[in-house]
Amino acid sequence: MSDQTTYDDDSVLAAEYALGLLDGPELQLAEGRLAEEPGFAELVHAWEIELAGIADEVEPVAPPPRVLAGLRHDLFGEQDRRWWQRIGLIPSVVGAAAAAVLVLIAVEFGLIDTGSAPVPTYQAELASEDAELVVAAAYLEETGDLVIERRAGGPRPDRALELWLIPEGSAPVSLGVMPEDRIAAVTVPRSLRPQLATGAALAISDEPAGGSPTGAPTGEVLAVGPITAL
Amino acid sequence: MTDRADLENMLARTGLGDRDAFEALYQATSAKLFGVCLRVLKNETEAEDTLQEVYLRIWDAAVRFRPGAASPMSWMIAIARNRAIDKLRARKPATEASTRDDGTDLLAELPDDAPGPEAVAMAGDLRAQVLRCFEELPDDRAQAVRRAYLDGDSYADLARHFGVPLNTMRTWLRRSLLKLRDCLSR
Repeated sequence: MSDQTTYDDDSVLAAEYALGLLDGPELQLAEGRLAEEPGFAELVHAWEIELAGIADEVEPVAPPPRVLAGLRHDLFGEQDRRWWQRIGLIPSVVGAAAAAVLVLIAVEFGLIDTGSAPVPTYQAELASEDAELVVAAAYLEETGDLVIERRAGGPRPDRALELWLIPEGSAPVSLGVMPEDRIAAVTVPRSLRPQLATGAALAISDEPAGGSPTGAPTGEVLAVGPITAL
Repeated sequence: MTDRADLENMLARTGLGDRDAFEALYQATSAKLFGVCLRVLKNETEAEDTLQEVYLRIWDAAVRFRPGAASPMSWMIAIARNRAIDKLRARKPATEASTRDDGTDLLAELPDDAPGPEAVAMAGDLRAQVLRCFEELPDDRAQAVRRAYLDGDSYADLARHFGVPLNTMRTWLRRSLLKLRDCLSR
């Protein structure tokens, strides 16, 4: 009989603890037992699992996407690393002729300092899904110049567009904030030039004015495009 | 609808550090857990923060999940509910102060969330055992357990809500919990 009483008392105490009804000395007692008695901890756990059935009555509500983004940030590093590993890159071709014209304009504007008529070797077109931001790029291997033309869109108010090189299979490397001019040239640092090749991609992210403070994209990735040889 | 075996599989793989499994688990379960956080906290920003903490905890604890001991959904709901109640408690002093100041019980004015007969009928056989066992309790006792679980009501809150002395509330609820245990173990 006394055993039965103890069992009942423990089970009820475990339920009270699981429900959060206890306070003061009773709570301290239960917490102490929880830490020291595996049997009591099991009772509490069993109640927690049974009581979870009460949540059957609770309507599901889809959480906003920022929760998952925050989790990716907390669990998997500075930034959701997977967007660049998974970009389903369908080459959207600027075209050899268009890329050549782009480079010639850049030469004419004095954006590129080169003697002869340069011929671009790689191109990329970066477009956001809604096509609100479209950027064409042509790369001159001999000078290391990347000529970029903003064909649609621009930075959001008080924000900047940052250009990234994503070497095949590795993390984005900044090529700097996109210049305000519609057509501009960016000199790719010598160390990065070997990586600007087929298989790599260019991307544009939304960043605070002045560019990403961390060296990795911190804002939304607005447009991505694969680099293809001409 | 993701079934129990799918969730167990996702949890097991999450326990091994599989990010894709974790994301699949999140897609399958986050709406339910967010609903629980919202129901307890009644504040979207807090519920979002809590949900994020809940999944961090799930990521860490998944390796200790034992399929035989609990349904994966119940296990995750327990984590979400406990975390949300902790958050609620953390802000409770302010609530208690305001309750005392104006002499009214704000909690008592919130509508109860007992499901109508329609919802009960729709849930049918899928109803959790604890809800079936609630039917063996007088309505107000089942409601008291519900309020403790979803609103974080203490004995004092419940005594005030139901207008009975504190010790009466304790006796009520302890008896109800015994009855529940008997029903659940059948």
